Amino acid sequence: MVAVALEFAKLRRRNVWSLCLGAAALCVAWMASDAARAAQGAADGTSALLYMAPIVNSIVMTLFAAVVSSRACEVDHEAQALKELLCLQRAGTVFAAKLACSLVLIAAAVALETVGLDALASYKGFADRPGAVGLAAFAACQIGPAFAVAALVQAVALRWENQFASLAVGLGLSLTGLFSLFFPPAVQRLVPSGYFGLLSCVRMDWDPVARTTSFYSVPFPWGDAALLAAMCAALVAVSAWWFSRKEL
Amino acid sequence: MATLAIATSELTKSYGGARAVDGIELEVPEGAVYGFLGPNGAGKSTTMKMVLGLVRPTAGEVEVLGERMDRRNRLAVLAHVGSLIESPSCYRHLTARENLDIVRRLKGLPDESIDEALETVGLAGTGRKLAGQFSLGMRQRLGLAAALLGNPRLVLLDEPTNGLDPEGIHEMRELIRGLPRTHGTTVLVSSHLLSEVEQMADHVGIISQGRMAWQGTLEALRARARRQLAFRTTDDRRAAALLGASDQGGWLLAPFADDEAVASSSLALAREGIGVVRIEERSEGLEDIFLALTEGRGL
Repeated sequence: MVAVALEFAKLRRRNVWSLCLGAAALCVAWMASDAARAAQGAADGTSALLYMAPIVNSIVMTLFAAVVSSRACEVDHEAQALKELLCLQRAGTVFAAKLACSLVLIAAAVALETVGLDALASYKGFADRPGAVGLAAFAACQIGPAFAVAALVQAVALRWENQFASLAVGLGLSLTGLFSLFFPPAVQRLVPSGYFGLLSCVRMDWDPVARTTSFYSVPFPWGDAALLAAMCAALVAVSAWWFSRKEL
Repeated sequence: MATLAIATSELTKSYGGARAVDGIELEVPEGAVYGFLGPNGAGKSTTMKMVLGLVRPTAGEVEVLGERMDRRNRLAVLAHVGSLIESPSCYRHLTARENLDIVRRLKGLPDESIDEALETVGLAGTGRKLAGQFSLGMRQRLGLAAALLGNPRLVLLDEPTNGLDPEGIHEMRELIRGLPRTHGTTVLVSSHLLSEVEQMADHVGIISQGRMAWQGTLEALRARARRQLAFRTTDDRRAAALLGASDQGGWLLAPFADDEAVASSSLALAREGIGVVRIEERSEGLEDIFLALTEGRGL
């Protein structure tokens, strides 16, 4: 806990909480622009929002996760502090503390987004508002892929001082995550940010004759959740080992 | 023999085929200010990083404060060690106090230790000023304050006066020189400047091309200076043959001798009708010794 608190102390005046608020606001604003077209009190309004959220998050939350994890590493590179820190902390502790710090920020952004989404549904009077459990499940499904992105970006950000590399990885993951949503699940499973779509329980049918859409729910994809968890574990283990091998 | 704060055995680091550090046997006595001297690229920083475990040695062992360091006990040993390697660690968006607070919490020290460290390096009055607004000298002092936090038994300082103005260099030198006396701290300080080491160290290690060329007390190094007698006479050619001296720049240089031998030499020259114009005693400066050692000429 001390190590995580120290990571936040280092990020003081680096506007990470503003970024957190900004990312959540952008997601909600994006969804609000879509919700504005829905009728007041629509029966499937929230389902439409929950269907759209993974698309928005594969872009915004992926970038946000990349930026915060890169920033958490950048402060130490910029301060030339790793030489000092690694005389006082194990490399694994430094790695884990930074990742935990990114996770807290991601969780905060997703929580704000979830609250915003529910507020939006409430404002529009949508009939299919999920309960607390449904919202929590939605939030968890957004945090998971963003965490995987953060782990991957952090590995690059800690390894190389120039943060262009880590941000380029983040941007790449954001784009591939978005495009993977239009590919079969097998392709989506290869990209951490593709799991935003894979973990969504809302699907859509498009009737080209009636030119209408209908949303329906599917059971929670436990298999993909397990796959993501395994991917996260592997990413964290390999990245932490890679960092511990770094010579300063 | 004095207890050693740092002892390395056959410490070696290779990058590819090149040996950056080649079998170094560093011996830093406890309570000493040990000047680690060598030209740029000689292997000083790499050696210090290996002592701190920041670089893995290709071969050899490191003993710090009586403990042989390995992966398991590294952090426990380094809890008693402060360091400033290459450039000072400094979060520019934080104040001096906030910077030191990070190190303090990692070391598990009380709040007051920050005041003490800031006082020691003369940064007590910086208040809310961010480290990014500090001069290089102030940042260097902040780095030193972090290294000194909690009064460690051993401090490793890598070129701590780099980038400082003359006044800053003087202050830093005085501070380092006083550490064994005021805090009981052993200091290993690297530099490529002989004059700097000469003014603050009592022990010296000279490294050249990754190898330890010489180490011992500064006095012992001075004692190794070659002493010679320089003559000028009315007939240098004949005098050179008589004294077995060599002619260098209008002076005849002969091996150093005691008073009796000098008197005999001057009488011998007089008997041959050669007038002695000047006799001077010359001894090599530390710079000559340093150059001889680092250029591989030996002493």
